[in-house]
Amino acid sequence: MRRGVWLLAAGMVLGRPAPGQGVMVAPHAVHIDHRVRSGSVLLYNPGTEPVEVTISTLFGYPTTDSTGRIMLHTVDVPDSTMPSALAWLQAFPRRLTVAPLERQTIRLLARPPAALADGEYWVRLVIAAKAGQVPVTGVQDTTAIQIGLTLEVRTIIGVNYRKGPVSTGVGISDLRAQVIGDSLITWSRLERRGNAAYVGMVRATLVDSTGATRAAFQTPLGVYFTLQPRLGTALGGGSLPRGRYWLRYEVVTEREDLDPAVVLPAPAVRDSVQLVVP
Amino acid sequence: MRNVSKLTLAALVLAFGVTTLQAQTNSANITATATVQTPINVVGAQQLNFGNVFPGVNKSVAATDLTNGGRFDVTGQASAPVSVSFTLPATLASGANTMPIDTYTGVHADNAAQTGGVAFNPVSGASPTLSASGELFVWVGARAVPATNQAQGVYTASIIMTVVY
Repeated sequence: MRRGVWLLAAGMVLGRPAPGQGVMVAPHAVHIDHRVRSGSVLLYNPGTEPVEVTISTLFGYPTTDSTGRIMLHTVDVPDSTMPSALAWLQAFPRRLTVAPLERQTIRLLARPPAALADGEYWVRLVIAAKAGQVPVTGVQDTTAIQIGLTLEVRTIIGVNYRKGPVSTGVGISDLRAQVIGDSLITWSRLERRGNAAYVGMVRATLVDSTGATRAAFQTPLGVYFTLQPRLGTALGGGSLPRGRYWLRYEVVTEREDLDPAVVLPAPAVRDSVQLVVP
Repeated sequence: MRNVSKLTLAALVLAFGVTTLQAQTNSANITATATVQTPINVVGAQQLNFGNVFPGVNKSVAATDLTNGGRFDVTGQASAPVSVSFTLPATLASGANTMPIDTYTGVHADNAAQTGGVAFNPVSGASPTLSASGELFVWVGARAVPATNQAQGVYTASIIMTVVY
């Protein structure tokens, strides 16, 4: 977590300035070790106006709906069967103002119960950012009714707290693929193994009968319990000629966007399915 | 991001190197390693601009209106799926007076020109994927419905976009 914080801060400051109002949040996934019991999130305001930030927490985890859309399932009052850190992990400060081109640190402090069992516990950090009032629209001398709509943003990131030995893995089943319009669409059932969330990446490659790659994509995702994601990509040529194709599908714990020290390793899992274009 | 970080790393190593030379005549090499974590950035980039509004005349702004539609920009890890949802006001308020706002529309795209944009209903949200360069643009349109006897005033409200990463 601490590794590279200076570089992170420098990179955020020197990075491409974003228009509009909001705050950059890094990292986008926080892992806290029980031996340390604390973590931090860096906020940076690349805009020209101060941004009011409110921090809160909730319990939730990614799941999928019947269409394969990934969504956050939230639980207002998680019971004891849920691996929730909501009751004992807090963020400070909860309200702050980040000045233009300034950065602020949010501290995460855990006070877990003494009898906390080994495993991984989750909470979600909600970073709500609100800039100053936007200009009111409407010309003063031609209308007496003016409208001012403020755009606010809330960013929700995951915080995972680990105590003792933790392990993860994932199993694939029900792999399917279909060409819909000009897109390759895939469905699969990903079921987590072990006692910690699987944070990894899906890589999919569609090859034709000669072994040539006709489409490929990769998508980072986290499997907390079970996920049945609908993932896809546009076909480069717009469509596929008639024939038989194979979809090669693999899930790996390789995440360039996260500190390797916090990504739990697990063996890659692979599956494949035939796709026929009539 | 990575290029910037490499430059920064180089600058830090250079600075450290100068200090070392001043402190001692012997030289030694160290290996500096660092991990750069991709930040996520969600901003309200462009307000939803209704322009002039007159009593009794509904005024709509389409999500496809690049000039007047409200726009949120998201940047983060390439190809990352995100869940986008909205808190949408049903009324605008000016003191005790209110004005209905309804018929929200939405479009998301991986470019600011909205090429290949996907329409969605902001009421139910969307689950788009960041582009290969880690970008996502979301537009919101709506309709303001002033009454024929709508009182004068400045009517305000907030549109909140929540991004789950």
